[in-house]
Amino acid sequence: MIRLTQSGGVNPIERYRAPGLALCMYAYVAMFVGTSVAHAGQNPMHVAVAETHSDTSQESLSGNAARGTAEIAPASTSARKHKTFWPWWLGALALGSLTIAFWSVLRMPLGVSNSWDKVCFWRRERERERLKAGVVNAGPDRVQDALLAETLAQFGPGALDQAVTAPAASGAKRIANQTAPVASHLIFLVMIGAGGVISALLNGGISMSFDLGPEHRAYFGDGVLLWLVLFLGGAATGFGVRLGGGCNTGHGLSGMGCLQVGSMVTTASFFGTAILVSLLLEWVLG
Amino acid sequence: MMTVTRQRIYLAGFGLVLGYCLERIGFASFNEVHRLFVFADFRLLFTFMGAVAITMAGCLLFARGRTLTLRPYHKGSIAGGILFGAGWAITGTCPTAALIYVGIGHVPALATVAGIVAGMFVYHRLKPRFFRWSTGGCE
Amino acid sequence: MACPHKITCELFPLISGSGALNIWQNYYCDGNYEGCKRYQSTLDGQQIPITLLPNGRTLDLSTLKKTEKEKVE
Repeated sequence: MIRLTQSGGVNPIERYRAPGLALCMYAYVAMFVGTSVAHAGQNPMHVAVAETHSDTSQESLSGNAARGTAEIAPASTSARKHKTFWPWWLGALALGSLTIAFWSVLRMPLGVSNSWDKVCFWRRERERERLKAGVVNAGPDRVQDALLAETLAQFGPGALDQAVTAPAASGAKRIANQTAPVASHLIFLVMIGAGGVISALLNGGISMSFDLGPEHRAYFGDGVLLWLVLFLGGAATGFGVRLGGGCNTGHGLSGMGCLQVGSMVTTASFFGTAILVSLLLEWVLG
Repeated sequence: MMTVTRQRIYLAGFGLVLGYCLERIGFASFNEVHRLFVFADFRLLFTFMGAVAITMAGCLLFARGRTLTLRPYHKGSIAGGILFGAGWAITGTCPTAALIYVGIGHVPALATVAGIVAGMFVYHRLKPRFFRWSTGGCE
Repeated sequence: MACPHKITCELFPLISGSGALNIWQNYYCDGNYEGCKRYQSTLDGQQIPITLLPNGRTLDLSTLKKTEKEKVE
């Protein structure tokens, strides 16, 4: 029988959907616990105090949570100066469990650059989806008939008898991965942005700015140079991400988590380069 | 087989949570990312390493030897990493965080998004001529 | 030498199920995979449609419908 889906038949991974969902819920809980931890010392009174004595505000926040931008943000400018971030363990729990939950629920590796790629070349993807839908709709029997016809055309009538008597070729161990249509990838990307917006709204609000924060402004200003640098940096990112085959979610989290050699090499490469370039930036421009 | 609608809802939910987490972790803040790379603050580094460790543990528990994703080494691995690393250090933006930057009000991040799209198109144009090697899969 | 894309190829499950279709697998996937049009297209960075066969032909399901109708008639 011809199997149309890559994970056809009884899929053992179905079993993992429940724990995946549990992990997903757990990620949500971790999210809200983390928010409350980060806000523990941030009631209006403390914020008012913090404006004059930034040291006390740091002590009032528990542990690593306070070590966000509080130290480096200049004591003026933007409304985001009191923004605090999750402590490392919470961020690690959230990201790690999210990667696992994503895979066990959706059966695709978490990889955002792949979504970018699909969305960028949506026309090609749409055509591919259309053809695949045609094959699925035709049903296994019709597809097999068509394939047999093509086999006859390619290898001649004798081939069929030969092949039947020949030992079965080696099967391949398949990856349980599913694909998603372009629209879903687009929704995923947009929702990532939306999640960031919600987070910013819940934690200090959104303010429009024409730079990427005070440190970035110190390096590149906020004029034409900034836009040019960002465009070129973005182009390097986009190009490098496709050349390397993934970004820090695809390679760093999914790939490294599965002990893939290519991911480890790429992750080491981009982390190393980022450290070098950042140190150079600080040295030359700082 | 998961229906497209369900898959879409799940993807939207995961996108929302991922965006929320990344913003709360600080991956959408140039200051934080820069402090990670100049070793001024180990918070993000520990976050990343911890996340990888948890993913590994999860793979061992849930995947049980099954390969979730196939990413073999190929000729573009190192060069791609170098380009991405340089871009990440300069813009503070990985492809995941680019839209968050735009969302939380950093207008110039639009240039980063445009750059990422442009970079992908350029790669697609150059691939048949200069990068003719297998990257490990049909996708 | 087997094709490194076997595990992600969309067509592979279709041609690996039935005995008669194994000839594709013997000839291309486990043999001359570098001659496979699907493999060559990945080198060009193309997304490969499921209907592209290793010899470059396209699996045509529409003509098949016609022949079935003719049979019925």
